Amino acid sequence: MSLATFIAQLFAGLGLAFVLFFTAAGLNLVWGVLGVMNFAAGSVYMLGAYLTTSAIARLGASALGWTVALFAVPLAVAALGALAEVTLLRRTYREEDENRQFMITLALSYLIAGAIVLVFGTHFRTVSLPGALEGSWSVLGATLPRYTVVTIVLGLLVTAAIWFGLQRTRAGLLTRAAVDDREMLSVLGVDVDRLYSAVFAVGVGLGALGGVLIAPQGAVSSNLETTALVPAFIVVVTGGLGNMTGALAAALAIGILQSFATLRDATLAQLTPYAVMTVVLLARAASARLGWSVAGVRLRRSATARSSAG
Amino acid sequence: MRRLAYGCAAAMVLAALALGGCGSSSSGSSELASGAPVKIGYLASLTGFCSTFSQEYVKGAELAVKRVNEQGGVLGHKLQLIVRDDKATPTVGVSQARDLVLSAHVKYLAGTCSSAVGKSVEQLVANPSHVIYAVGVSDPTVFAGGPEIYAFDTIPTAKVEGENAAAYIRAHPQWKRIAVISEDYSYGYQVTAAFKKAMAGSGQSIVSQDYVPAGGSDYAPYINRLIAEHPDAVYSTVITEDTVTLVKEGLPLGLFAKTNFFGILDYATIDAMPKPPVGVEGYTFYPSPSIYHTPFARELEALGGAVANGGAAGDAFNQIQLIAQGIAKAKSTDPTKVREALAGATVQTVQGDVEIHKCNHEVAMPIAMGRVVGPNHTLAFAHFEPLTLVSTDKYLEC
Amino acid sequence: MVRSRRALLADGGPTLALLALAALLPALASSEYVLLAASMIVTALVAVSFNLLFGYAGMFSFGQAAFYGLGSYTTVLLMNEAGVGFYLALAGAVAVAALAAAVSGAVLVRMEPVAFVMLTFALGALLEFAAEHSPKLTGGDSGLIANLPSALNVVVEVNGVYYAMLGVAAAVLAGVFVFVRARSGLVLRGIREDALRARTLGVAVERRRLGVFVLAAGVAAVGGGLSVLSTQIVYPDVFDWKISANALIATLLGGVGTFSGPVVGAVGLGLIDFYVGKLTTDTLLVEGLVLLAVILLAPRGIVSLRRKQGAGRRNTQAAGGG
Repeated sequence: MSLATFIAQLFAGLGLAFVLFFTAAGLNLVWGVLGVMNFAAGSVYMLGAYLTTSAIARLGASALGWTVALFAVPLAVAALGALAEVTLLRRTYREEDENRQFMITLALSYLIAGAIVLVFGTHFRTVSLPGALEGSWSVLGATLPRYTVVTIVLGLLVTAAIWFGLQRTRAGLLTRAAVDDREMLSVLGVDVDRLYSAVFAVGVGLGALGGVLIAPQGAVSSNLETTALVPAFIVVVTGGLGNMTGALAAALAIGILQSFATLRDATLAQLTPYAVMTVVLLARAASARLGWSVAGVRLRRSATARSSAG
Repeated sequence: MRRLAYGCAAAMVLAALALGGCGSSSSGSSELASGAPVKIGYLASLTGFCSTFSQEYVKGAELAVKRVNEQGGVLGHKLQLIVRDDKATPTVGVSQARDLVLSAHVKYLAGTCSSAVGKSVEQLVANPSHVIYAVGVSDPTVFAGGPEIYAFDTIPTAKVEGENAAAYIRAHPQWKRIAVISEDYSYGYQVTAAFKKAMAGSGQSIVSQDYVPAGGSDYAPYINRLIAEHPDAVYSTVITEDTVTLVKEGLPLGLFAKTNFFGILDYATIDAMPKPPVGVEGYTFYPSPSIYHTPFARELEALGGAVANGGAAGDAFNQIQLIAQGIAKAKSTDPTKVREALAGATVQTVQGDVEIHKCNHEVAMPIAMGRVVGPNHTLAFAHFEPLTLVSTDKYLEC
Repeated sequence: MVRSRRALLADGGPTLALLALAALLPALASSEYVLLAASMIVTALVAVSFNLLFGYAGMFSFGQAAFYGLGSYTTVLLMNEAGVGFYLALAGAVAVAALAAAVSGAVLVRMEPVAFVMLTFALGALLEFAAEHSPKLTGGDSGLIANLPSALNVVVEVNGVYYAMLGVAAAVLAGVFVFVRARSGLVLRGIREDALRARTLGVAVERRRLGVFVLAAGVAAVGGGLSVLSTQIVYPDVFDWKISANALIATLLGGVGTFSGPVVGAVGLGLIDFYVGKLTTDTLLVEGLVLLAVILLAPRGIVSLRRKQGAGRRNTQAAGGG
């Protein structure tokens, strides 16, 4: 493998990883914090992509148009998410209502997909980038598409924002506390309902942001739902439910490994996410049994789940 | 209260029965009663794998039915289209086809974009029930049953497609290193296999062979891998929305600058791209009316550019036309007689007059090839210029 | 646990009623409905399989499709390649699925809940990938057409095939009923409620979990094998996670942790799919609305509509623990 190929493939892997991370980050908040296994995670990603095509059609594929879309689309989807949370999910956080949550998010995924077909039709849609972002840079002989660089930079910025939000703000502190013990929070006088709505909205908005970023990369079609849903779950579980750093690490590992695996066997490379997840889960289980602690792995503790060492 | 559960269950089932009616009528004779419509069951993949063009296929079929009926129908019978969703999966497709044949007493089937559905419907419904099935799928094994089969093909098979591409590549012997990129399912495997077989002995070597996941959102790793082999030419059979992804990611990665790209680029797909790959050599066999200047092509223009140009509408149009013309030729609505009449017959299609080969019911549809240009004074959308129509007769086995 | 006749009737009654109606169906309705009922039989078996794990043992499996698919492919391959008769092939399919469950389950049932969901899902996905990419064995993504004798050809003998399916399904359901109403079912529920306590009481938790995992796999495999009779094809989507998802939906619709819940839910889901498909082409949208409506109106499933939610009936997710 030449240096140029190595750099190019590493970059492609980073591009894969960050798009993965957005959907995973959103799901991590909704599943890790709220305990809602969000089957609609792929649908909101797809919705974000479709709304982007509408937004750009109206605003034009200029730098201004894209900047507006970058903020407006995730915000719009987040608003819809908050609405769904308040109307449908708010009363389902007791443990006996967990099954209802599955059905609600499943039904929502059908609804979103159905609404998209109704509004946009079945034909795929495309958007173009502003001229400045087309083309590529040459680095040490490797061709790096400008758009991938932008995706990576944005990914790093959003990751930093999430980290800052979780670690350095009060809302983030409360969110992290909610992962551990929701009841204690409400005892302390926190408006848990509103916190949950906000977290759900942010989670859904992040998923939509992933959709905004994938829209110019290819065709926007109903395929996006399935190609996003499964990898998002895999990344979240591999990184550890509720663990943002873990999700980022998992996304990076999977994206980069898959990219390099493609050089060896393009067909088997598709199995990379499953392989990584299986290895990590088995290793984690084995280490828990043997009493080792696995750094950086923090599992969600719901009211019913006992610790894995128990 | 306990009884409610039984009541609910029973009520559900009884309501279903009440709505559905009882019993099943016996099948009719093979000739239709005078005045009765010729029912054509159309399998549209409204959800699932090729749903992108499903609405266009249906529009093309509806247009064909409308035109035939405006001219008085066929043998005094009007055509009636019944559309069902096969979800691009064989189990649903077969179940719908069976229902059409057994419950709706349909004797003519058309459609599906999935070879897997086409194959199962042909083997499990069309042949055993003696129902004509006009279908545009690329799997040659669907039509391998000899002249007794009831299925008729309306597009070139993967074998024909691959051999045609090999002929083009071989016509450029200066391209020593060839890379192939296709879809990761049976269509991709079959085209690649036919291509490789036809390239044997050419002195040109296939240095890379990639199958990309259908519906994937990121092909950059595959494109990088391909480019790393330094091919002189690339043959691509990545189709529909995947072509859009391939082109969009390929352009900045230098796929078209660093190699001679040759691939299937149907008009609907290149038109949908914000930046079509101008200067690249492509081919298509989907009957876009702007390629062929036949009376049928002009009729399709009524559907509007976006639909008509895709080629999907044209294919469905051809399928309905094949059935109607078959009935007219046979002077009978009996599918077995229609089958005899169609074998070896010449039918009018969007692409012009084509002959149905007796041995396997395949048709030698011409393949359109050319260099991609953007919208210009000739046509207001991306197209091939100059355009060549290649006859595929020589690639049909019998 | 109440084992009175009343409780038995309450638990198994709806299923018995549906089976009776199913037996009368060919005399009452056209073959279109008979075929619909045939597909409901298959869905019900997969839902029962899912519910055995989720509702009774507290193990959320998203991979019952793996065993359903193994059942389908094994049945077809044994018939086509080894010339074996259908019933023997079905038995072989159950054996293969049970073996696969025993081997994979040995590791999987020790995993904590989230890992269990994802790894069972991965099992199905892996098998689907393997089926798609092994054309010599499985026909790849063209699938395989089953070599069935005319006595079992659903086109020729709709009612005959239907009754064969119904008979096998009824036998399997009876077996599952006996299992869940017996002490074994009680023990599983104890494990679901509190695995740690069960362990201290001397229950061999992993062995019990493995046992029900293998049993559930067998039930799913029967579903897969029977589906070969109604569809006559096997295609890689028999491993698709949507089959596992449908089992989940049917179980939740009908009522988790009850014997009849999955059966009632399968019938309900089948009717919803059938009528939505007939009434509209916006199937996704309408189905989503219907599912939402049902779960909001009957949060604990249709079966629960007949009794109040009182003490002792909590449908919790896995009570984790080693």
